[in-house]
Amino acid sequence: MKSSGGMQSFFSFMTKHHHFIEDMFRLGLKSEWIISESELYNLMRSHEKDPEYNKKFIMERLIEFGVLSEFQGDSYEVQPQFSNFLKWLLRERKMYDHGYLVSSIEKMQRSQNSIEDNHNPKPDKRQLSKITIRDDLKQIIDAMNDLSLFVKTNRDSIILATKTVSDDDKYESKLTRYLEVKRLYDEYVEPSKKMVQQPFADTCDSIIRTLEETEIIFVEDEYIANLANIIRTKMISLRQLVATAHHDMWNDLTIALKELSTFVELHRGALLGQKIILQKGAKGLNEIIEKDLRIVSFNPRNLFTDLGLEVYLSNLADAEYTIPEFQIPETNDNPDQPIQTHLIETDLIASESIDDLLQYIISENSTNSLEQCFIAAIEIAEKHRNKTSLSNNKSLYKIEDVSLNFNSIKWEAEV
Amino acid sequence: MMIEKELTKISKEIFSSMRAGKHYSASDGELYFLIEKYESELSEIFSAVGFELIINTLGFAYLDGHSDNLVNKKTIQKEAAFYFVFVQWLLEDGKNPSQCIKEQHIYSLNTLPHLSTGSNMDIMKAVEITNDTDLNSMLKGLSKRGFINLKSDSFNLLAPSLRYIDLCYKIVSLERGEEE
Repeated sequence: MKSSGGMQSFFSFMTKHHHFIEDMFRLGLKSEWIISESELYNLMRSHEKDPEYNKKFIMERLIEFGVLSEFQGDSYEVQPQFSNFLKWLLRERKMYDHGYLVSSIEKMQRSQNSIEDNHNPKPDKRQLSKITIRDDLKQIIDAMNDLSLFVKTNRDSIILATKTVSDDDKYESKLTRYLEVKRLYDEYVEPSKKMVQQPFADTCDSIIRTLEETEIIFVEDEYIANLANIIRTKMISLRQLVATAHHDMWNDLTIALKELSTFVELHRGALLGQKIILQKGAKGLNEIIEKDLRIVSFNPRNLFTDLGLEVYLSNLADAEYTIPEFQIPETNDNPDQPIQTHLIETDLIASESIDDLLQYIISENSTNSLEQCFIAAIEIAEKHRNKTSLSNNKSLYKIEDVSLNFNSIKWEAEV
Repeated sequence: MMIEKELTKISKEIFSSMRAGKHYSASDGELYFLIEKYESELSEIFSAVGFELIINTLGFAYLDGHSDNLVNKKTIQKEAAFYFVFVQWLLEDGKNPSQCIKEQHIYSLNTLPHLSTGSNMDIMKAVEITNDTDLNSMLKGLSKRGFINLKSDSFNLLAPSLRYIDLCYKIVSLERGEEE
């Protein structure tokens, strides 16, 4: 860069014409940094919507700033210092956002419109129309090449990013990678997928129809026919590329995102759990424990005891087994007073042995229900396991209309 | 249901401990594989005495408590606090807890983070774990119930620990639900 322009002037110029500069850079990439004068002017033409756009002025400034130098009379060379700087700049960005993709599609549409505008030339303008159409067809090919480059670059960059392993295994590195993958997904894949696929497919279909009409109108022009064939062939592969590239990117990113988000969510969950404890105390966890973490741990009563299981197993082994006539409720909601088992225990300890504990309790508590007697028998049996044993013989117990078929429990004080 | 001697033996052997919250996994050897083998029969038996047998596809079995009075929430609160701090510590060290379970990573009791920083101590204090004795007592409980394999100065996580890890995910989805 020559000092005459000054840094401020240089950056001001670059800011104003950055779209053109980037297009020129891509053109240079494809042509070993040698760009013909006509190519440069064509490029400017696509940016000359601004009425103040002055091609001559731009060329002079590019040379003055040392961006371009004349090469063999009719061409220009992009200076290595500048191309290297831009390479670095664009490599930093790595990706082409959907604006690039859309601008390529719009370029294809603009050229298509121009072709259609030349479909009905006056006889004396027919040759001029053919030349314009040839140029427009080339513009379509260029736009398709650009689109292909953007899509391939994005696909490769994203797949590389998703497969890149963090520098270390630390949480911060994983979190950084997660944020980067998520950014790529949010900024490139999702919007590009939405914006490119349908508009691109519609544009392709529309261009194919225009090409067919053009070939019929200018049937004598082999050059147009050849260009149209090139476009058709390229379009098939480009459509395939766009579809598969987005599928590949989406696939890789969603897999990476899922893997990393699992990691991040777990960390978040652990912190949230701690926050609940700090803010609401240990009881703050009760709601989620009740819902999702019902780990049993309790003092057994009634049906939930080992004896309850033993009786059930014993009954299972018995082919004659029938379902008991009544169900023992998990909680005792009988309004009657429960049997005072400690009083029975005192009597039992004093006695030597009782063959049928339940029958004994029934006889001693005749005003209580069978259900209450049963619960009392089980409670005593659980409490004095070394003094009780479950026999294999079943007995039928009955109080009023309620009956129960149950293995008898033997009490032996000296056991 | 025809009852086999082997099934009767397993039922009696595992019922007391499962009722007290024991989780069986591959680390319990043949017993766990027998639970898997007799899943439907055991489910029926335990259901008859008031429990639901759950065999998690991640490789562990336990009894589910239907009603509140079967669940000791205080114990679970302590253990949840232990796992919240431990999971954060593992993740920040670049470890995947699920992978640690699978690979049976061993952790020294001396290096645990629970009572080493002020913020962790505040969390543990909220669940009444204030010193090494309390912490060891809680770890013994976890070991007894099959969540960890505790040795004299170290332990490793067992498959049932995934229940507490899953709790972290559930808290996130609960919070997300509240936000929505």
